[in-house]
Amino acid sequence: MSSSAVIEIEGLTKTFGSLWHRQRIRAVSDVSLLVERGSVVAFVGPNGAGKTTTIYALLGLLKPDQGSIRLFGNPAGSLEARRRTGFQSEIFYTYGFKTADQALRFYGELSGMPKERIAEAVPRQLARLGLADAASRRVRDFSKGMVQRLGLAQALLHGPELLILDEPTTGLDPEGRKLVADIILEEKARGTTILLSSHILSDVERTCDHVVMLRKGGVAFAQNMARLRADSDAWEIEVLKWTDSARAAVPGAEVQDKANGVSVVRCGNAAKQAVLLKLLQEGAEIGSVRQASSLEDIYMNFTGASSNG
Amino acid sequence: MVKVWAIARTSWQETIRRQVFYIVLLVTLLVGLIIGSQMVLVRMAGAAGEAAAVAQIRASFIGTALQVWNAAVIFLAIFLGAITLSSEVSKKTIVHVLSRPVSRSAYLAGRWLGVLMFLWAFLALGVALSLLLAHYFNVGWTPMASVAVLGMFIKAAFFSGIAVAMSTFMVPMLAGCVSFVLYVLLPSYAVQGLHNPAWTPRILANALYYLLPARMPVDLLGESFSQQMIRPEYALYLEILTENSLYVLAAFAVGCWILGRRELRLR
Repeated sequence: MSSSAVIEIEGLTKTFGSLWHRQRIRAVSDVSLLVERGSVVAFVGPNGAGKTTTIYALLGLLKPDQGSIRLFGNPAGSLEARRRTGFQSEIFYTYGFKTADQALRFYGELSGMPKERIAEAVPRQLARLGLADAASRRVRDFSKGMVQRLGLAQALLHGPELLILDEPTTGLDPEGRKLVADIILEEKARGTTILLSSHILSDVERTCDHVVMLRKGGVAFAQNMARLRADSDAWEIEVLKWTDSARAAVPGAEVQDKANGVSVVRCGNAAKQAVLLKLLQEGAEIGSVRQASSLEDIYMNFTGASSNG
Repeated sequence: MVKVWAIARTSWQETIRRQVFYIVLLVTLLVGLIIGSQMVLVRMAGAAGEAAAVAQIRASFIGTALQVWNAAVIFLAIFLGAITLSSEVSKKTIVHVLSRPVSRSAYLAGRWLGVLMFLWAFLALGVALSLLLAHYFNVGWTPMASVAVLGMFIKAAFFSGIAVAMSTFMVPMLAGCVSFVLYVLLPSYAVQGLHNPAWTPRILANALYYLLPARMPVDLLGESFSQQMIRPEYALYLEILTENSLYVLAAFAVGCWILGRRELRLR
């Protein structure tokens, strides 16, 4: 057991079914995971991979059949573990008759926050999530995206040391997605440990330090993001405007044509400079040069399916 | 305590928005109106100069109205108690409550308290209406009526608490039915069966007699406005009410224990 570990999962196994149901489904099988303080860990994997089951077991809502889970050295589900944890589910299930302000005050009270702290934190979190103007509106009148943002606000309300976010960008528009990613980065800078379950691999690449890929209830792959980036050899050069000679100048490179005449040239790290130089010499207009998404490739390799993001 | 109170307020807000309450309220008022039609007899008796009959009909009307209100409260207590937990599970609102540092017993206590506050408010409304009617009809409010009203409040707590406790390990429909059978139907059976000549039902009745809560030896509400009132044994009535209060607290503690060990399967 590591003293700096916030989450320690050892051999977690969870099976669903009962005496009356013949079919028993093993949702999670022998999952072990160590999340260090201050790190941002992504849980990725297709639907039904066991991400939400693991998260519910972390919160103590589900009991493991085998294995152990500790949060801050305390058993999962203990009051001390929950006091230091903020959680947002894939869909924020709350009371539609409450206003946003009332809902947050309610969750603040449940977290044991003193009245003065609630009075200060509620408007601050509402403003942070862009909901200040909707504070006195009933949640049932909110759009799906607003409900999700309110869900994140309640998770952040008591300043938790651990944030567990189960697909927090579900139902959000690009602006909302960016806001969530920015908040994750802010919390990361503050030293909050974050466990993020997501299908949006670009967000994962942007915000996370580690990635854990689940498949069929087990850990299929676990890697440090920095290592993953370093291991990635592929680069993508976005060409906004081609010339005839430019296309002929890079015969060996893989070219993918996108919409509006834009193309992406993929090449290895070693060839990157030479290809770029040739394209520029031949008059091609370059939009951007970036490292290719290695996570998506890995995801596709391990799951054999396309992501929902 | 702040957490229990926060959950109780939310439970109250949910309960007051349930359609079933308005249906029961409407039915209760309608039944009250139908019973009120006997007031026609008051006019006839008054015209005939039967002052004693007028007083008896008026007192009987208030007693019956209270009994109707009591039946509505018992129905609501069982129904609302049985669904208060399952509605949170089915709507999944329980997830963000129990992911907070809230013990399951505090959570269940808050849910029950919210339902109870609602039932008691509903009951208080009925009692207030009865008091107004008693004042209007010049019917004396007897001490036994006060004990009967206290009994109604305890019954509301009793049936809702039992239903909440049952719902920790049963689906709401079953919890409601079992609560009704165990605590409304079976006690009468137990009392009747105690003197059954056949030994099997007698043994069963004896077992139930000790397992089930104590029953009032008289119908307090019925006797409250009766002209030939029995000699009241207030100490015994209060003892039974206390015993039943302790009974429901014990049942609730068992419910908390079960919920604390149960995992929440959310679909």
